[in-house]
Amino acid sequence: MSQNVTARPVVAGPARAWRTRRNRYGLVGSHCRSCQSCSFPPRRRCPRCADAVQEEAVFSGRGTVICLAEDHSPLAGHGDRAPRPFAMIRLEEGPVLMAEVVDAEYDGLSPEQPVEMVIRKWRPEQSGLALYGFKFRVAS
Amino acid sequence: MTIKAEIIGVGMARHGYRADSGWRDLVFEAGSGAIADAGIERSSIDGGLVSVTCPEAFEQQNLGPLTAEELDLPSGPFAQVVGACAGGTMAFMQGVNMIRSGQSECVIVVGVEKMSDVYSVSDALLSYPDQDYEAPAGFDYVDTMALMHARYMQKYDVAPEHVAAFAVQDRWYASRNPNAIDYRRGALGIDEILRSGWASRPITRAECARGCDGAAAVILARAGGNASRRRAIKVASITAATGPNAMGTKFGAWPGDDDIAEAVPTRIAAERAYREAGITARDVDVAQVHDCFSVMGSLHLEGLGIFPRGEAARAVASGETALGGTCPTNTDGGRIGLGHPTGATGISIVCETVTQLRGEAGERQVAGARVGVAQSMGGNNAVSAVAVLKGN
Repeated sequence: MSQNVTARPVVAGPARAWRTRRNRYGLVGSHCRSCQSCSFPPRRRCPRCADAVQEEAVFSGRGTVICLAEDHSPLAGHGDRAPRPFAMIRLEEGPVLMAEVVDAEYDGLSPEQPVEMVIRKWRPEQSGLALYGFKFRVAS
Repeated sequence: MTIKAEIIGVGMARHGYRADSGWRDLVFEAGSGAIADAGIERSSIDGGLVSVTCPEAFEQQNLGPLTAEELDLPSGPFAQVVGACAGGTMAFMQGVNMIRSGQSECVIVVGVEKMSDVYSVSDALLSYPDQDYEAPAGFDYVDTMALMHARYMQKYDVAPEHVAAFAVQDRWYASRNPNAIDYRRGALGIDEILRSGWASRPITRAECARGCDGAAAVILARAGGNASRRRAIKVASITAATGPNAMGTKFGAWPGDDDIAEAVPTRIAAERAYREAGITARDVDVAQVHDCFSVMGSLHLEGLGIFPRGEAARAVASGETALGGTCPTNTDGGRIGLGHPTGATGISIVCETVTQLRGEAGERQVAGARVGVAQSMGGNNAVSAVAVLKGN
């Protein structure tokens, strides 16, 4: 009976992805009680007023497109996926993030377009689990 | 009395796809070239640094002692430096500090990369972008910088042709640089660039740096010390500055309307470097900037204050970075034309600056160059390092 031996063993387990599950699925970030500014990802200290007292914030998922691009070079873990549009998106609470825009063509999207968050597959992880996270679609 | 550092030797390994050469061969090529250029004995070197971005490509870490061994150097302090694609300039900065602190009299700083050993450069470098929300979602640097390219055009009303012009100018210089991938290749046209296919729209394939194999080395010495030389080039200043790494966190990170369309760490580092060197942006005769993608060259020229915000791409398209222009830039061909062995890049820009200030750049020579700036970036403007060198 032969053993499966690889030159480079898989070293990364599932714990790291488990720690960001609420951020990826629920858009959980932080809110500053002093100046009201919001951050995603969550911050320990407010980047605007430096207050160290930050509370958890769950963002609505509604936002608008700032600028757009289209990925034509899929990474190894993403197989032969078709070109996909992605964007800088400003959430209505203020934070900006980078995300894929699903169920749309690049040419049908434009800056300032309203979008809303959905949960979609990101990639298979080394641990064997499929990682999911936020993407956005045109707001209905 | 303040100890000053100067560069007494430079060496380069030809950049390209060099399957026959391992990392040790490239280190030897560049390192021994620099030692010979300096005209010193190996025994004079009492410290060193090696910069590699992706040692996973050849599955070897702890490269400091291995590099010292490969170059047959005396036993001494020799560390490995990592700073993404700014790593070479970060290593150069640490080498200067070894001299200025009095710890070392003569330091070799080497950078090397073996990108042709991997199946995919993007995947090999995937641990550098944000690991929580960007890389796992399938985004690598060509994607993050595609957004910077899109935002730059949108914010400053710049045409794709203006951004692409950076690659045209890189090719002109690279075709005249024997160390470059594009040595002796014909001129690159704007139409050819824009038709080369999308890497990550709006970035086309011809507007991407080529991750490749290569190495670069400099020898630093204490000015006025035993190793000091007549052809020495002064290190007027060297510094670095960080910024937010994840793309979204740049919006609103600084006061004012800076966002992903500005190279803010470059601006911060340049202001400090110019102040220490006693110069302004107008004094810069020749610049080497980090054009991992065409738009980044223009962003860093603006960060360095060489052109106003939003104007660099148009200036490049107008020939202002060619010989005879306002500020000849990337005279070695840049990351796009010379090639981008990422760990070596931050040192190769110092080598080119030295060559220019010595008046030894041949067809690529900037007439009368006295002040040179070398800038490299790590990540998406997560760090920018700026060096100011002065000739005699």
